[in-house]
Amino acid sequence: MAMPGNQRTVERLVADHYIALYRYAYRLSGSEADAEDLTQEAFCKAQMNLSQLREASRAKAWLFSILRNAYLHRVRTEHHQPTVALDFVGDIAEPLPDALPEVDGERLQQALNELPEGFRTPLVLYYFDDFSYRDIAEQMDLPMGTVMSRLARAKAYLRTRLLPTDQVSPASGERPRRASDGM
Amino acid sequence: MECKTARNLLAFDHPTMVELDADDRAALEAHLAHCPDCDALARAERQFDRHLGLAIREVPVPTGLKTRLLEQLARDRDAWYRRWLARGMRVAAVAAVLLFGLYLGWNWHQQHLPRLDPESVAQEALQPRIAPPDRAAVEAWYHKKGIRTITPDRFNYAFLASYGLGEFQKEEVPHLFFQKGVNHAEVYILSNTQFDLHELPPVYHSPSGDQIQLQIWQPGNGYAYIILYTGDLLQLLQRDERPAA
Repeated sequence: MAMPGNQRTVERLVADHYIALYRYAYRLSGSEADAEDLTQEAFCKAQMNLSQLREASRAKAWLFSILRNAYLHRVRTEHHQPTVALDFVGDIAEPLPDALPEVDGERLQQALNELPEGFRTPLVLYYFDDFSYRDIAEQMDLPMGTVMSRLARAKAYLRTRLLPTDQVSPASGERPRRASDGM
Repeated sequence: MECKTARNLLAFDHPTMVELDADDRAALEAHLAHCPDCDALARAERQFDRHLGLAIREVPVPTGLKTRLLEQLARDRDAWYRRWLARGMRVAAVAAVLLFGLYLGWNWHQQHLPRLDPESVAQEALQPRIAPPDRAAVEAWYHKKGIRTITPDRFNYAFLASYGLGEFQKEEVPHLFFQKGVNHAEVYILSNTQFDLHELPPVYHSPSGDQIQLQIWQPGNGYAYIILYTGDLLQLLQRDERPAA
């Protein structure tokens, strides 16, 4: 029965990170209600385990990690919509059109929801800017190469889902390109 | 740098760029400056990242979220303290019951201590003097104290004035005191489990003339009897130990 952390510290954590944490939760869960619940749960767990946070500079990564664990716990206990297999998606960057169309938020979330969690998480963390590949690898307890590969494939998948088909360069039927090709 | 290497390095083209060392980063930038194809690819990739990054971070935050979070955290804290208090009170209650039980036990014990009155004290204290115990009773007394010993059989226990434990060379040993008139004898009973008795003679008599005499008896039963006496030791021994007149 750990003692709750110092109230001021916890309030400071909330003030500094609640927006990023909520957005991360939303992008993971795809629902406002779930995102708020997850954010709540993450802060409550953080409050009870504040002594585990050794460096204040790691607070954000620590909170994100708590939130992801809470999310994974829910995913395991609840029924979730099926996700796509990314075997057909390559991981090499392809030329893109000069002018990118506006990304529709709902469509983006739908595409994110279609990604398996192991692909969605590195992608979302990557676009939250503050996380390096190493941070993401640590969060997910994966080798950095795996994170990069998953990230590239998740990005390629989003490209196919978000950009008009005539703007994505690989011709249909062509084998997807991998970084390992030709090595 | 070849285009293939540059495109592989582009995978590390992350906003924080911590995974690329300065040399690789410089080499990549130099290659992009001279290779229009890779440069176009890098620009497009970065543009896509910016574009997608903005879209992914563009999540409207519900109004009042922070307040709700803080309220929930405060409720959680209060609940924790309530649980802690309840638990503390349970522990305190158990401790109070235990303490009360201990108090009752102590109180009962105090009320059941053996009562002492002057008559019983006198009887107890004077018992050995009034009616000296026989040899078997003395050995039984030591046995009750956890000490196995054999008392010397040559003494007349009618003259036993007191018995108990005495200190001999920093060890506690059975100690007897015999008295008849001006004749006294103190007997220390040494066991071969407590002392190395090999160096002691079976019989020893100190030279006569000293005020306090010493005799050592070692009858071969595993014990040695150190006897310090004044006066005539024979007066304290059994009748058949005395030489015939």
